[in-house]
Amino acid sequence: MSVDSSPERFTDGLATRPRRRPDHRWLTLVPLLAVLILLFVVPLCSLLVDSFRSAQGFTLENYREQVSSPVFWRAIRRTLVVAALSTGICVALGYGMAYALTRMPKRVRGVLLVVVLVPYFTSILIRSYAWIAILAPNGLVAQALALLGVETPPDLVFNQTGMLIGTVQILLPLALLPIYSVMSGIDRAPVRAAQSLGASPAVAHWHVYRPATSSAVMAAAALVFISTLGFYVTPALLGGPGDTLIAQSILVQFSNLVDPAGAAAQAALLLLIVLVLFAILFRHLAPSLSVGGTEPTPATTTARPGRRPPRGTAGPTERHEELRTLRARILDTGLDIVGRLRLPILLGSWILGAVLLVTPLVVVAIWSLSDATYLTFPPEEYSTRWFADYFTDEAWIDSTFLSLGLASTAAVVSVVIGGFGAFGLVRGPRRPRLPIAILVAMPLIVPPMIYSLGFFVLVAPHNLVGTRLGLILPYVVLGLPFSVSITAAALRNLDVRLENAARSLGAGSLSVLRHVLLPALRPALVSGFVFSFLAAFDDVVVATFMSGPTAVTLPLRMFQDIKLEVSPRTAVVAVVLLGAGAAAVLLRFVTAWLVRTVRVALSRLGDS
Amino acid sequence: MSEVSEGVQVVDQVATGGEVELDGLSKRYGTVEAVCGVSLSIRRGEFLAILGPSGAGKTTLLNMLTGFETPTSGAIRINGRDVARLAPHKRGIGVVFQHYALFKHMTVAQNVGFPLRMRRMSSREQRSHIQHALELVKLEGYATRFPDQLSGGQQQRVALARAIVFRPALLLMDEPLGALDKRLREHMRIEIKRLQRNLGATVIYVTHDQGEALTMADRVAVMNDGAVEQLGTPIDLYERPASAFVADFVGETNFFRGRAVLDADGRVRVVLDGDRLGHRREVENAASLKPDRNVDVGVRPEQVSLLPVECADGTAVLGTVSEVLYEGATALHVVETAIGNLNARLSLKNLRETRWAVGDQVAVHWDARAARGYHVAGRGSSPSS
Repeated sequence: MSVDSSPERFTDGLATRPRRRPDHRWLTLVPLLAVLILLFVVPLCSLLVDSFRSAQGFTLENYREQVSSPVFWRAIRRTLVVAALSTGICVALGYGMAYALTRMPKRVRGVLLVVVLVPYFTSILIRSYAWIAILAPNGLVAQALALLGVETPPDLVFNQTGMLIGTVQILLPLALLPIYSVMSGIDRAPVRAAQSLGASPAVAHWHVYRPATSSAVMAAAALVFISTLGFYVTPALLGGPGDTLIAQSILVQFSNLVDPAGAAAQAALLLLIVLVLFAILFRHLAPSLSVGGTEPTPATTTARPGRRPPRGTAGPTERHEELRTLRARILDTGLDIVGRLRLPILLGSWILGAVLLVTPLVVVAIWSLSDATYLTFPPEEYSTRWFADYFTDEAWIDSTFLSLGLASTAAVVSVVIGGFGAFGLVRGPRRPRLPIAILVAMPLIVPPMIYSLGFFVLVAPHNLVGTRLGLILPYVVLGLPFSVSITAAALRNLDVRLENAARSLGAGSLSVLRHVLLPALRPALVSGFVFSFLAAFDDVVVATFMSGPTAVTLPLRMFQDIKLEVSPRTAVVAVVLLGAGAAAVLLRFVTAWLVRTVRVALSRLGDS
Repeated sequence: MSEVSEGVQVVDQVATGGEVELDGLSKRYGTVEAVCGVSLSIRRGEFLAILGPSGAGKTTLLNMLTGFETPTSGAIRINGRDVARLAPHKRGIGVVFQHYALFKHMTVAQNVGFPLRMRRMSSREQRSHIQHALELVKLEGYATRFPDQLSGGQQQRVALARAIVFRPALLLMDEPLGALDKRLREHMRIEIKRLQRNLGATVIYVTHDQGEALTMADRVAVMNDGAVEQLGTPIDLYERPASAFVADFVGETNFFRGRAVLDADGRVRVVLDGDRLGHRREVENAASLKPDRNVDVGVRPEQVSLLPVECADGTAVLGTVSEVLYEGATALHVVETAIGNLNARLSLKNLRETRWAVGDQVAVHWDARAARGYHVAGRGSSPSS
């Protein structure tokens, strides 16, 4: 607050303003909080209430029923196993790939990051769908195996294997990126120091480098694990009929078994698991979700020094000490052996990772040109008939424009509300920062299936289902974690003194916003828009509940189409979307280049 | 009692510094030669400073010593054994890194014990060695702290303890004092020097700070453009710089362009450009100058005296004081003369009576033994002063 008083000192001399101007900046938080509470917290609470409700009033019967159902327990167990496996694989692979990235020359790094980012920005639906073509009994892998002489290839899709492969592919960037961003900031001097002190490269890595990454690794693991817990699209497409995960199970309970109370109870139990996990892992998640305020959360500051009782002083027993020496020796010997293989390991992780990430996109591109009406890969004959089919089918075109409209409207609203909210979060009062930041992160943490169900049940009686508004409202909520956290991060890096300087020079709040904040925050707002847009544009789950016959979003139409028959149609849509995305990026670079050239030309004209 | 005797034993073993020889060490990146043919031999227990501006090749040389770069050619022999192609962790060189490179997640004791652990020493043995090393750097009682809880100077000592605890044959220090404030830096110079002498350690000390090099080192190698420009004791370096570069980089020097001429008596003397009287001046290193070549004559500012004009003898150059900068013990006078602008640093003790002010006419004088001539070559000559 002392910083804030400096402009007043200047204006005091002009003697028109009151001595202490109250700080109204918290007001910018109001829209954000209103949206989050009304459209997010209230639906979840009403879902909780529903789960305790019966015709007679309050009951625990819904829970008793679910908890005693073996089907439910199997879904839970299966979900946890898939989540644990995919977390393990994603983190291990992501760690290797991220580390390899930091050791590459800058230019190679850029190319490889594109390999990670393009799939990351591609719709989950499309990537899952591509795996069907790759893993199906007559798909790419089976054919490759046949060439190698394997007569009966293993079943790779419509079972847990397929589900796992798809999940790993989709969540790998989510694990890799936070680890990479921490790794690229790590000072390598201590690693060199360790080597000069006698540690082989692997031993130095283990003792010196790895501890610096451990928090990022935990964060990545937490993100992947929590995301998998709520996964719906990928398991639904790549899993078998008996392999339902918990998110699917909730939907089945709700729509097939018509048991809203049971579905609510299941959702509440899943929510409990997710929230408990979030609480446990919070101190690791806080930095990567950009949840904390300007000050690091207490957990992270106390995490480092003084955490372990230092050795030596307490006088441990001799035997104890010998044991520890022995253990250290075994560890270091093992590390030495691993260290010899570090190049093959790093190279292998990149080959595996790149193949996993890129193959689906390549397959989709080729498949879109297939002439067949069913799944054959590679296509026997090529044609553009599916492109023609897509562009002439009014329903598909309508869905495309509907989704574009919904996603961009929601993204704009989310960026505006989120932008103001971020300002209030960063520049506003200190104390409520942490709770608000956690609340903002929640739509990303709570599985969409739970949220969509809650929202649907709440608004169903109010004629919102099947309307644009009914879709836009939850999409705004899904976009907020992105728009707020990205803008808040940018604001935190922006010097407050800029705003204060502008104020001291006589700028009012609106002028400060227009001339100082908006220009500085534009990149953040743009990327907030992109992420919010994609969150909405990729969505299947919300649409499953909120779409009516008049408003079928593109992802939902694709999803239903794939479930009905695996045709190249979705591949065509994928290629069109990817092409549009690439064109947008290209256009951005071209306009930037044009603007720069024109500017240079103008300044030359001015000079001469 | 037993602990004390063990400690003494450690000192004895630490005291065996190694003999180090760099033999034609070169490193080429593409067409750029970062280090070209550096040969140095460092005696047991010697403190050698490598001094040079940034870009001189110090870092590359250092990386080749530590093993993070492989030399294109040449050898590094420690006690006769060539280590130039060994991996860093097999060299057994103690390194104090520029920003200490301490392990932040380990305590001081764990940091210092790390090299011992890597040498598979039992925790019990480690403890006495750690204890002893911490005593040597005066950090007893800090064993259980984390590096973040220490001041810069203390962190520096931990880095030092960590580098000496395993009795390396060679101790390498890379700008170890760069991150400390001035007062602490001067204090640590004395500390490091004392430690090195007590241990009898062979030290290579890389720095761009001439003050550190001159005060601490037994010998200094001045590097420029990837090569050693001069190797000598600090006194050699300061009083008999081998080149204009060394004269300019180590301390300050006024340079005057002139021409070497052979006098009738067979001695080479120098006529300075702009000297109206065309006086033939003697220089200290006349024997090494070739006649009829362009020469820069270098004179240290503190060797210049300013006399009243009426005291001028035939060799004096007349000038006008254009600037007087008070420095405490001394005052720097900038004088404009026909042979160029020059700096004269005058001790205020000698200036009680005659203080020069801006605009005063003075006669500039220096002793012939304080002037050295340097042939003007293609590079590195005639720095402006």
